[in-house]
Parts: sequence; C-alpha cells; structure tokens
Amino acid sequence: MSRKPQTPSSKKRPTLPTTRVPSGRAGAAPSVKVKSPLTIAVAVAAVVGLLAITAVIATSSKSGNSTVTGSDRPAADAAASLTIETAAVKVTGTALAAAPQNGADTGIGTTAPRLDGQTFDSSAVSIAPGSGPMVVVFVAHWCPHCQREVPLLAKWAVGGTSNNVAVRAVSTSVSSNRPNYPPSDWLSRENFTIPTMVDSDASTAAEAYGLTAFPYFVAVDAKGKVVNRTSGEITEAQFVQLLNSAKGGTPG
Amino acid sequence: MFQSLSQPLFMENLRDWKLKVMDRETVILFLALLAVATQVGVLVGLGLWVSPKWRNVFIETIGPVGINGAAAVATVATVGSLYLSEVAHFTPCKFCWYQRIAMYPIAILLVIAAIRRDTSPRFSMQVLAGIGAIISSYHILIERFPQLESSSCDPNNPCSLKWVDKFGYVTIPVMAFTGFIAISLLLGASRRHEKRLFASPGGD
Repeated sequence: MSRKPQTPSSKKRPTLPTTRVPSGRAGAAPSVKVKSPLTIAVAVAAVVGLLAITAVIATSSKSGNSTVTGSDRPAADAAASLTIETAAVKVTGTALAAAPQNGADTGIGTTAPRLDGQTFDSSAVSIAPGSGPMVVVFVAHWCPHCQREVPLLAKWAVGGTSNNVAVRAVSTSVSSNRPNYPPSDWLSRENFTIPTMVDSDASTAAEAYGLTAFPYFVAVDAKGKVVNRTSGEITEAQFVQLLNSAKGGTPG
Repeated sequence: MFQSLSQPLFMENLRDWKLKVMDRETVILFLALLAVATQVGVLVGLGLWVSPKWRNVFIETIGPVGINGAAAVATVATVGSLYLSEVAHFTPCKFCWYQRIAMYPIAILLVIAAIRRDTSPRFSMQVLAGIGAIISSYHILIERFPQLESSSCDPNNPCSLKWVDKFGYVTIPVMAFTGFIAISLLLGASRRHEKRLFASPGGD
C-alpha cells in the first residue's frame, strides 16, 4: 500500500516533445535534433494534393465533358439504352404475411396474389398463380448473396422453366445509389434468361409476397397456393426441392 | 474586349472544375487513393520499425509529429466517413457504426491533444484504434465472405454490401482499417520517441 511520494514535476501532465522548450524546465521534454516537422507536413500536403489532382483528372477523363453527377450517371446511361429498372406493379389478391425468419410460416396454404408489371424492355409480364406450378424468385442487384445465386439460377432454369415448373423472377429493392446498378445490366451479364418483372420504387411486388430477406423464393402449386417460402442462398438440391414442392402441392 | 470575352469562359471552366472536385466519384476515388498512399506509408513505416538499422531514423523523424499525424489521419477518416453518409448517402451498417464509435473520439481527442501538446490521451487512443482495427478486420471478412454474417441479405442494409470498391480491394472498412493502423503506428512512434527523450541523460 506504500505509494511513492510524487514530485511536483511528476504531477504535471505529459507534454509533446518539443525542440523549443528551454532546457532545465521541470517536467518539460528536453530538446532533441529532429527532422523539421514542417518538411514532413509539406511532403504530406504535396502527396495529398497530387492524389486530389489525380482523382479529378481520372474522373474527368472517364466522364468526358459531362457534368452529370455520380448519382445521376447510371440513371442517364439506363435512359439512353431505353430500358427501365422500376415500374408500377398491379397486385390482385391478398398480400402474403411477412415470411418469418424462424418458426412456422403462416403464409403456407394461402393464395398467392397475382402480379402484373413490366420487364426491363417495358414488355408486359404477369406472375399469375393458379396457371401451373411456379417458383418466384426475388433478387436485389446490390445484395452479395443474390449476386452469388443469380449465376446458379441462370443455369438451373434456362428460359424460365425447370423440371416442368415455371420460374419467374422479380428485380426488387432497386436503388441507383447502391452498388451493381442497373439490375438490367447485371442480369444481362449473367445470361439470366428467366422472365423478370421489375418491381416498383416502393417494392410493391416484394411486399405483396411477404419478402423479409434476399434472395427470396416462393413456391406456388398449380392451384395458386403457397407451398414453400425460403430466403438466402440455396443449393441445387434445395432448388429442386422447391420445384418438387410446387409440383406436388405439398410443403417442402 | 478580350477580357469581357475570356472572363465568362474562365468562370465556366472554374465552375466545371468546382463541380468535378465536388463530384461523388471524384471524392470516393480521392479517398481510395489516400487509403492506398497511407497503406504504402504504413508498410514503409513498419519496415523501418522492424529494421534495427533504420528504426532510430523512423522514430526520430516521425515520433515528434506522431500525435499531429495521427490527429490528421483520424480527422480525414472522420470527415470522409461523414461525407460518405451525409453527402453520398451511403447508409452506414452496424459495423460501420462500431468503427465510427472508435474513430470519432480519436479524431476529437487527438486534435485537442495536438493543440495542447498533451500526450496523456495517447495510450487510450492506441487502445481505441486497436479495437477499431479489429472491428474493421471483421467487417472486411464479412465483405469477402458474406455468409459469415448471414446466408441472406437484410433488405435494409447488410454489412456485406460494398458501397465502395476501388482497385479490387479498397472498400470502406479497408479505408477504416488503414486509418486505425496508421494511427496506431504514429502514436507508437510518438511514444517511443518520448520514452527515449526522457530516458536519455541530460535530455539531448
């Protein structure tokens, strides 16, 4: 419990070493020969300035004479190619309850609503439960899990059919401010041939199907009843299970 | 006559440059370049630190400006982070917030310390920077391996979302990690330098 008595100098708060402090002052750092801090500051400022100029020149050469801001540029590019990334979606029927992350899904057995909207090229497209077994996939362009799942889906359901089950996709939660925009370019790059509906700005279709996470899968039987819902990355075996549950009309 | 014609053109060019400087893509590229330059600086600094021959040179050169340098790094990181969320409208995720909790106090306290020439917060700030670097590392892992966070994306704002991805590896947590490591190194150099000063008899 014995404590060393503190000298007046040790009670002082420590200070930054300095070359200008007169020697002999209690508690102050002694002088030392160091490289001038001013030289270091000038060197750092020069590097920062050089990087700033590089950034301005690099982005100028990319955008040419355009003064369109970053957030508007993708939208401008999309408009130029006459594709749409979002459009109004008409929902007919009762919206499904939100899919639970755990536990029993109260949406199973309820009738899935019909969705009428548009594809990326503005053609009309419908997701009409009751016209046959169907699996509806919801993807978001910015979601890394969707980015990993889409190439697999493109292989498993070429043209929008797999094991005689219709597969339909919805591009939802679209935001020009988020990465991997626009979704039309992304899905085109991935050779995604599944007929895809573009969701509205308010994600009407996703809400109508009770989406709570991406990627999101809803299996609907021939009568239009929901038989299975799941979210997250799935394997081919799990995808086949979804198809079979849609065909069989039994929860997978 | 010449002046009246050239002045509007000059003003127009100046306006274009101002727009370009404030452009989101330009700022993001600048921040990414700054992160890469800092990484180079950190690697060089660490190389000098571990080399018995050059350690003294590094500590004697960087040590006296260690706190000022760390304050500058933390301030740039704080301003950059605020720009990304408030101007570029990139929504910070959970781990971004944890890193902010570490970085923002470092910026404020080190700026005050640098102004007052006070070295007392140095150790606490090093600890905070260490915690921040650990959080950044985990965030980087989540970005690289999204399944570590979850097998699906939260519709609002998953931490696996890469708002910025430059040069194939510079993302926001990579920038933060660089900042935390640079701060730790600068403060470490400052501490070593001061220890030597107080240890040396006569002070010189």
